Amino acid sequence: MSVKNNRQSFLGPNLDQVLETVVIGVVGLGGGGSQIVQQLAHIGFKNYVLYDFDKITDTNLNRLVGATKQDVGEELPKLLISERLIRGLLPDALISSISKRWQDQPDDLKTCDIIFGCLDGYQNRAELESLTRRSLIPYIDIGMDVRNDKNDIPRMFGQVFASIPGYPCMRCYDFINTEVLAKETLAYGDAGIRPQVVWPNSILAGTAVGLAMNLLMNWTGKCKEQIIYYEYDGNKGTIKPHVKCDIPSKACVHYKLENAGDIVLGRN
Amino acid sequence: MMQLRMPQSIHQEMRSDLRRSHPFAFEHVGYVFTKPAGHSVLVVTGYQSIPDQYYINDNSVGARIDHRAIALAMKRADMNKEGILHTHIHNKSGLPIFSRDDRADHPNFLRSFRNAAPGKTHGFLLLSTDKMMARVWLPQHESPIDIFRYTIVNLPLSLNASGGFLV
Amino acid sequence: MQQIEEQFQALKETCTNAQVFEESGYTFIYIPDQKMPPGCTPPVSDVILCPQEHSGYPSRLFFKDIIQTPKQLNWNGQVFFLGQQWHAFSYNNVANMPLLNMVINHLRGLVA
Repeated sequence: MSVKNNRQSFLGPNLDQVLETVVIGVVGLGGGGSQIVQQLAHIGFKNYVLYDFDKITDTNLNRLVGATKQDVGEELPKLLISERLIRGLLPDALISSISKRWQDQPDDLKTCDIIFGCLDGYQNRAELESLTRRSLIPYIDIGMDVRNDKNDIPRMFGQVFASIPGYPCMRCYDFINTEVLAKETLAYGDAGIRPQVVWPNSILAGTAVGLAMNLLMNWTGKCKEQIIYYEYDGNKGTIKPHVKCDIPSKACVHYKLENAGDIVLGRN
Repeated sequence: MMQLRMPQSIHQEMRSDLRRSHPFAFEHVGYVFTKPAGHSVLVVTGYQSIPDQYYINDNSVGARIDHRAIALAMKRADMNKEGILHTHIHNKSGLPIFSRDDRADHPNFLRSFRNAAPGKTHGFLLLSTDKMMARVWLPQHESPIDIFRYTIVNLPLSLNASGGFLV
Repeated sequence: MQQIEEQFQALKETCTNAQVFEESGYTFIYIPDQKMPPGCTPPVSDVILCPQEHSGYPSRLFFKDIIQTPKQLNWNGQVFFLGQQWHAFSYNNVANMPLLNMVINHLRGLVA
């Protein structure tokens, strides 16, 4: 174990090797993704595949970790801000930065060992889950929202979901279903401004990174009992296992293991 | 550079099948089926056990299987457009190495596998009690490549880079 | 599923290269090189029929390309599945009919 890792040596004797060899994908480098990247870089992960096609604007500064006022003036891509953040800690990191929607260049993601998704919308999540299931890659999703309740009080909530091949998926837990997908499609182009603030993102990002560390290191010795679906209540300030985690899990019927791998479409 | 990912359920099924004892053969063999995920990853889609009666009684090798056993693999690979990895286990720990007998059998198996699914990557997966190694032939390639990285997808994730499982 | 299997065999008599895939709980019928109605560009495209409720519609036909048609259509479906992007226009009420009729009805929606 290297000296620099002495404070995190409890994670396990293979930490150095894991940090050197594991490839992490992060899709979406806004409020959530920038915090995940920051934490991964501090831990010392060396290999990244990053996706974001957006540039920073003034409205991002209240939550995009690593961004500066000057970046806004220069209209810097969010990718470069994350890359700079990583290189500030790990100058020799290997970073594959892709300035596209991941759907337009999906193959780079297939080389990752774990993928973090920090995406807006259910359809986006459903699509990334389909790719990660086909490629047998654990996918950890985070997200938050704020909606007014019937008394017009803002209610802040969110989730961390780990979709692990062989275990229940987002559809099994009804986090994604035909109803929410239909609603989203029919409101096409009218999503409005999605509320986002910095502090819930840090809680969700921290939970997601912690989950990934247990998945990789099993430092708790109880990874088999790992909670894969957390619910966040921003009004109460709690994050806890989602109530549906109490339901005994069944084999996933939505993504069968025998259907893994790329499909070659064309004439027979 | 090619890596292999396998769900734990298939890994478990494969190991427990290969560990069974056989009425006369010294070891069991089986088939692992794969599909590509991108250009540098093979994902495992299934395992095929070989019925005991498809073995040939031959003391000169650990196990010899007959044409029906090979046909089993070829049929599935053709139907599902999958690659085939012929699999067996060496009953000791550490990084396994293909024996001279293993290597001598490779060309014949490979020819059959390529006949069944010509455009796919085929090869051989060798297990020890705690590690694995695989050698594969990409389509239209005459020289094999060794898989450099193995992942068993589970809680926790088991990563094996160049031989040693990390968890 | 059995009903879809039977209907699929009937569809294959017309679309010989059609294939069935499953993903994310949906059944998808892939038809390569499907001829588009007159006046459409490109004249041929790969299509995928999802005969179940998908994204708010009782069934959907996805196209590999966005089809240029004489009629103004609302292409509100851009969905990644089976490893690539597919496009669908908003078209409702295609349900409770054999698979082949579903395909024909959706294609008719491009021009009618």
